[in-house]
Amino acid sequence: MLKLQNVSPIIAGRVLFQGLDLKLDIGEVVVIMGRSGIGKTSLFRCVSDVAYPFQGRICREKDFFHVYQDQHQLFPWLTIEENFRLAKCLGKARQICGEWGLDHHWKKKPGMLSVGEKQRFTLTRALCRPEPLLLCDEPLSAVDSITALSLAEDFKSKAHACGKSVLWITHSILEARRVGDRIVILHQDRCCEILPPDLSTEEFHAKI
Amino acid sequence: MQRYNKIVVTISLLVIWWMCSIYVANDFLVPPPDKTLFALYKNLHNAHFISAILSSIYNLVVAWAISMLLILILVFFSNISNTVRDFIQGMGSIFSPMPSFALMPIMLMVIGINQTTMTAVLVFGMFWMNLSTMIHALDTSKHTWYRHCNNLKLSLMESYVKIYLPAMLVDIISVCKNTWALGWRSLLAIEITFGNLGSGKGLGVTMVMDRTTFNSVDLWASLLVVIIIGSTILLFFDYLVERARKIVA
Repeated sequence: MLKLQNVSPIIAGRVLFQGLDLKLDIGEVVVIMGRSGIGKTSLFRCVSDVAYPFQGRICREKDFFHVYQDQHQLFPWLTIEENFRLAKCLGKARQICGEWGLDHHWKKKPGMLSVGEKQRFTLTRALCRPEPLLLCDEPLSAVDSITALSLAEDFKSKAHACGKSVLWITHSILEARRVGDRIVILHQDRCCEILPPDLSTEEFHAKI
Repeated sequence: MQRYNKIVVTISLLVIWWMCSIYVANDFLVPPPDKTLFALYKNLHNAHFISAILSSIYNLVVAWAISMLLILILVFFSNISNTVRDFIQGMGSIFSPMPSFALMPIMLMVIGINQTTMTAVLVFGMFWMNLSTMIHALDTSKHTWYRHCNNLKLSLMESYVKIYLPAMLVDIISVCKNTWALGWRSLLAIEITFGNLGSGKGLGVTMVMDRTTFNSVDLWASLLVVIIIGSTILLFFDYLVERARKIVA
């Protein structure tokens, strides 16, 4: 699905972190963590943009779908239904939204929804798209921590069910433990670590 | 609150006007508001006056529609290639600062004394002033939404029709508003200076006729009509902008 061999983005001739080796399997959610400026978003750009400068080797599925950080990913002048129709995934979305208790919002515009509801729809759209690989760049950063944790957990189970492979960036250790099957910690001066999500929060803090 | 302010300003102006007319005590120079409003009421029942207003508005609507169409066509072409775009923007930087009124003598020589000359001058003024705004608005819209369109793998047509154009709805209406406001000023200036180029109709022509016949009260009444029409159309566009903002936000 996605294979990174000694990959690190290069900005102004400088390698951002020690080369990352990672193999992302079908239906797996891998969380990318690290300090601000370490190059998490740049790593995504390496995966999505062939012209972005990086060292190492990347093998990936051709198709991928981005979930961006900002909350304006649904087009505000279209209703939720129209947004999904435009994304060509209305049928599947109805089913997932029904499970998330969102099916009464179809005729509403995004401006009438809370941030949490908007993000649920954004994540639903990502899950319903045909692309097998999802690149989620801090998708829950605008949501309060309690909602974020519940969303992250729901997303993980649905991603497994839909067979999506997901790279997920976050700064929240709790969120990472909920959503990730594996957690990658990027380091500038030493090798990147790949950890299981069942480590304690203190252990994660120590690693970061 | 803004509407309330406008009412206060209107009432204040009426009071100032009344006080001036009492102070000057010369109905020819400053006719009192009551006489002017009565003249306006009387004129609104006069077929000739109404046809003058409609003639002015018709000329403006034609010129406005042509200039908006030209703006849309050139914005479309400016997106096809960077060379075309640079050429259009270069032309804009030359013609935009030029007052369209300055073209009038040349247009009169080339086209002749007819309404086409007036339409051409109006179109020229409205078109160049707003073309660059529209190009910039489309750029901003594309800059904001391109990655989302790309992410959803929308076709070029879908991106423009469903995303870029709706996203710039507020800018489109603002350009329509500015174009109209500029056209209204230019139209009145042309009509007052050159007459309505052959047709003998138009609000500006009526004002000139009132001045020639020393009919000061009717002149002030016509001026009121100019202000009322200008403000009403602008208020209408403001309303549309607000509506569009709510849709796009």
